[in-house]
Order: sequence, then structure tokens, then C-alpha cells
Amino acid sequence: MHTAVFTAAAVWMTVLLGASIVLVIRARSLGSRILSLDMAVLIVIGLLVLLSDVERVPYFLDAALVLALLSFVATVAAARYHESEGELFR
Amino acid sequence: MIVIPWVADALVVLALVVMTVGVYGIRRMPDVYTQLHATSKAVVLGVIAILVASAVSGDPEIILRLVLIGIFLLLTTPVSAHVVARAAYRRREPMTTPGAIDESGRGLTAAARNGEEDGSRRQGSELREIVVGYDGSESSRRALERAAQLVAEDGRVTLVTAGSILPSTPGGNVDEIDERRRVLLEGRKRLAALGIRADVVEAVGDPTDAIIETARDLDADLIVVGTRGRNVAARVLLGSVSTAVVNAAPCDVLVVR
Repeated sequence: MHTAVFTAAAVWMTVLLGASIVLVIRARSLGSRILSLDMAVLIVIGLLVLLSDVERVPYFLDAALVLALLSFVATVAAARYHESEGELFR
Repeated sequence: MIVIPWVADALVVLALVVMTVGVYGIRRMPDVYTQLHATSKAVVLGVIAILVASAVSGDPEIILRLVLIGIFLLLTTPVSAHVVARAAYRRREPMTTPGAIDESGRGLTAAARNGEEDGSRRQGSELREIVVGYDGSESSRRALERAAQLVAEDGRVTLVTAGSILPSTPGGNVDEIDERRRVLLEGRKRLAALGIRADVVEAVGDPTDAIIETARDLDADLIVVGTRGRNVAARVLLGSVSTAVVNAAPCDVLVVR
């Protein structure tokens, strides 16, 4: 990957990340808030992968993997919370 | 190889475009059910494209991790999308997309919340006998739907149609009688699909008289008629029938527009 493309991609994805955080804050319902948060985490995963590629540092990928795991669990938990009206464990 | 950086570039650009579409999709789509498409397809596709871009130029150990992340995302994204959708559905988050169709019977669409969805019957309705002037025309179909909404849980809807031809008349217009019968059966099928007890009355003569007589015989609670029947030549519920029914009815009359 060329440096110019990386720079442009990193800048644009940061903009997207900001936009999705705004969407998290301004979401019209709890469901779409969970979705926006999930999307923000996905964008962070993309950024980490880009960074590891350019810097040639593989351990950013470990961070990305952990983030993917955490975001899955978090999304499921948040959705369950939403579904059960606050009683997570029944 | 000289082309590999270019392939990676192209994939990253693709990822950027797709992710931008995804973020815009969340902003643009009106409800959770449609917003799900944006994250669970567009943004995930973008991330996968970045993974591939990174993999084409990477070492084996990097590729292994990238594949791991990719597989994990492909497995978990549908699950989390489903969980979010189920939560929204169970919490009855409304479907605000124009023209949304909710086949679940939970009434999540805008139309259902306005009481216009098929089969959303009012609780505690007192209307046990409803007579509907029905000739298969657009407005009589609306009359049928309205009656279906209003009728009590254990009530009955009777469809009345009339024509001037006796079914047994030799040389009578058989096609037309068949057509009339078909229309009635179709109406009855529609009511049965909504779980409503239905009867049909096929009368000879003036539709107004047929409706009034049926209503009197059944001691009906309500008559529902459309404003406009098929046409004069079809000898079915004419536009003026509604007026005549209103004047002569033994019970309440609802004229459906």
C-alpha cells in the first residue's frame, strides 16, 4: 500500500469514526444506538489493521482481534439488556 | 511483485467507499430494521476489504491473524445483527420505513399503529352482526376491510350482493352469475383468512332492498357499504345504493370512502 493512500484512508476513517460517535450520541432509539456503537468499533478495527500493515507491527492485529471479541460480547449484552427492559439475567 | 501495492490501494479505497456508505446509511435510514443493513453488511464488508488489502502484502503470521479476525467477524456479525433486530422487535420498536410490511401481526408498521392494518380488530367491540354490501369493487373491498376491523371477536360478517338475474333463468347470463358468486366467495375467503365468521347472501333484485332485508332478518348491529359500486351495467351496488341504504336502514350505517 502506498503511503498517500494510507494517510488518506487513516484520515477519512477517523472522520467516519467521529461521525459514528456523533450517531451514537444522537441515535433515535436504543437499538440504533447499539448499532452505531458496533459500527464505531468496526471502524476502529479497520484502523488498527491499516496501522499494523503500514508499521509492520503484527501485535496491532491482536488488539483488533480482542476488540472484535469484546464488541461482539458487548453488542449481544447490550441488545439483551434492551430486549429484557433492564433485567439482564433472568 | 509490482502490482501488489496497487491491489492493496484499490481494496482500501473500496473499503473507504463502502464504509462511508455504511455510516451514511445509519444516518439516513429511519429505523433499526433498515439501519441493520448499513452496519452488518456495508461496514463489515469494508473491514473485510481492509483485511484482504493487508493480507496481500503481509507475512504468513500476519495473514493468519487477519484470517482469524475475518472469520470471527463473518461469524459474529450476523449473530449480533440478529440479536439487535430481535431486541428491537420484542420491544416493539416501530417500523417507520415508508411502505414497510410487518407480517408478524405485532403491528409494528405506521399503518398498523393508525389502526389501518388488516385484521387489527378493536378490543371489546359490541358489533356482533355486520352486514356488508359487497360486489368486489374497490370501495366494497374497503367496506369489507372496515367491517373486519369493527366486528366483535365472536361476531359475524355477512356479505350481500344482488343482481337482477335469477340464477335459474334459462339462457340467463351465466358468466355474470358465476362472476358474482366468485366475488362473494373471494370476500368470504378474505374474512376467513382474518379469522372472522362469514356468511354470504346472494339476492335477486335491488341491492338496497337486499341489504336492508338481510340487516332486518339478522337484526344487524351495523351495515357497511362503499360509496361506489362497479358500474351501472353490472347491476351491482351502485353509487346511490349507499344513500338509499342510509335512508331505509334499521340500524347504524357506515359509508366507507
